[in-house]
Amino acid sequence: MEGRARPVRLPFASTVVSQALMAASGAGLTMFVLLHLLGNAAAYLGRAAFLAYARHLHGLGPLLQAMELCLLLLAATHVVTGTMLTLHNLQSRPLPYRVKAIRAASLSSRLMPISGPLILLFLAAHVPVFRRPAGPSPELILQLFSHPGTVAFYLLGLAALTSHLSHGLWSLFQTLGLHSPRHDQALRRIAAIVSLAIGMGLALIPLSVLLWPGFLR
Amino acid sequence: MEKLIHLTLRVWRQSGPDRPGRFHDYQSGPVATSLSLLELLDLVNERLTLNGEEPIAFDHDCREGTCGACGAMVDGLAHGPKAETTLCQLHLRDLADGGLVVIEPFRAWAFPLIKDLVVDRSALDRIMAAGGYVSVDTGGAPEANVIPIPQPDADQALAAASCIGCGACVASCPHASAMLFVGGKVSQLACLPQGQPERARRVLAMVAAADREGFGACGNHRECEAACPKRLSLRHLARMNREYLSAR
Repeated sequence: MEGRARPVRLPFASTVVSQALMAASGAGLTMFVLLHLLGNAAAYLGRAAFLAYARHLHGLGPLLQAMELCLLLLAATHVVTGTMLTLHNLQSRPLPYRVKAIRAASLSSRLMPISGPLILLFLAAHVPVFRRPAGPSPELILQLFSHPGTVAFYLLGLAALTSHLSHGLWSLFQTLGLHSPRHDQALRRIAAIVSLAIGMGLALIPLSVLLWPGFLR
Repeated sequence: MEKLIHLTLRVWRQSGPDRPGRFHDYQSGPVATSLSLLELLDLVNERLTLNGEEPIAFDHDCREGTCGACGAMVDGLAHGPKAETTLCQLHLRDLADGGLVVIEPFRAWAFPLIKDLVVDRSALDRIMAAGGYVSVDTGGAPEANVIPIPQPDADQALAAASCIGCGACVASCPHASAMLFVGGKVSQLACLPQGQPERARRVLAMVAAADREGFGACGNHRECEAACPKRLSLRHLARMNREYLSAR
């Protein structure tokens, strides 16, 4: 086996620990996305309710900053561990199959290393625009999503998120050892429904601005 | 009258680990569908030998689906298109008449190629040596029913123990991960009272060994479970994760 020594870029303590970190940080990030979705709902209670929600959120002060820091840590853990795992996995089969068929792997599971970076790309554009000292104003939302191109970009980002979650939400139970065949079908169905609900729920605001003239006005 | 079919075999030929490899096509001629694919390779090899050519190297032993020695990718699937079978139990009746059959070796960094379809799977042995056993003192064999084992535990242990170590899980995993193999042994021994004393040490050592050998991380694609000729359930992999995380 001489000459086969490779730079084993082992992610953290072991692959199992790394996967557990992915699962735990992914679960935390999903919790945030659910909170985000809940916050978005304020926009449908009218302009005044939305402004009140934004004011209230930003009135939290240090608590909000602490939450942001937690979120940043979760995201950093997920991205760094995910990148290291992907590099490790790429090394595990240096020579690809000339012919390879798929028996059971879902499309979303195989797209994880692509949907992940796509979400990061989306966030790199989304977060700087909306993370403001005073919170997002309805005018900003209306102005931004009146461009069909922006809406299309958001839909693409959210499609990546939906795909990522539909595998991730099932996968994290398996990784954390909480999976059993008895609940497998139900868990897969719930993961698919929740991820679709999150994706469609988040897409509602850009689509509402574009298609509903009275929205937030 | 037995049915005859004709196949084109596209087989990966590589004379050694550091030699370049390529596909080579072989015509089967009319062959009986009752033949197994390995028996067809035997026929091709006889012809090659008579022509003074190098026969196709492939691993095989019991040829009844129990030993785990055989294994190759057939049309991109570990052990071929038939579910829950080893390569030696894949028969020509399972393949389409007149079709092209692509046969490629298992590919993984941890399974270095030796020749043609033969790969070195001793990495799996080293994982087993790291902890896939129960240490017992020497002496007479103890009476079998001295330690009572609940039937559900015994059933799960037996299901987990059905792994034959063929490596199809690694070969079919998009990440070339060996975690179903590791999970089978960890789960089997975690279910049994005899496995308890070394329970934590075992799972840590076996996972560390798999990582050291250069197998990938499990991404829960479920390809291993679907490719396993013994249909080892993902529940064993989940149990291994549970065992590992609680052992740390």
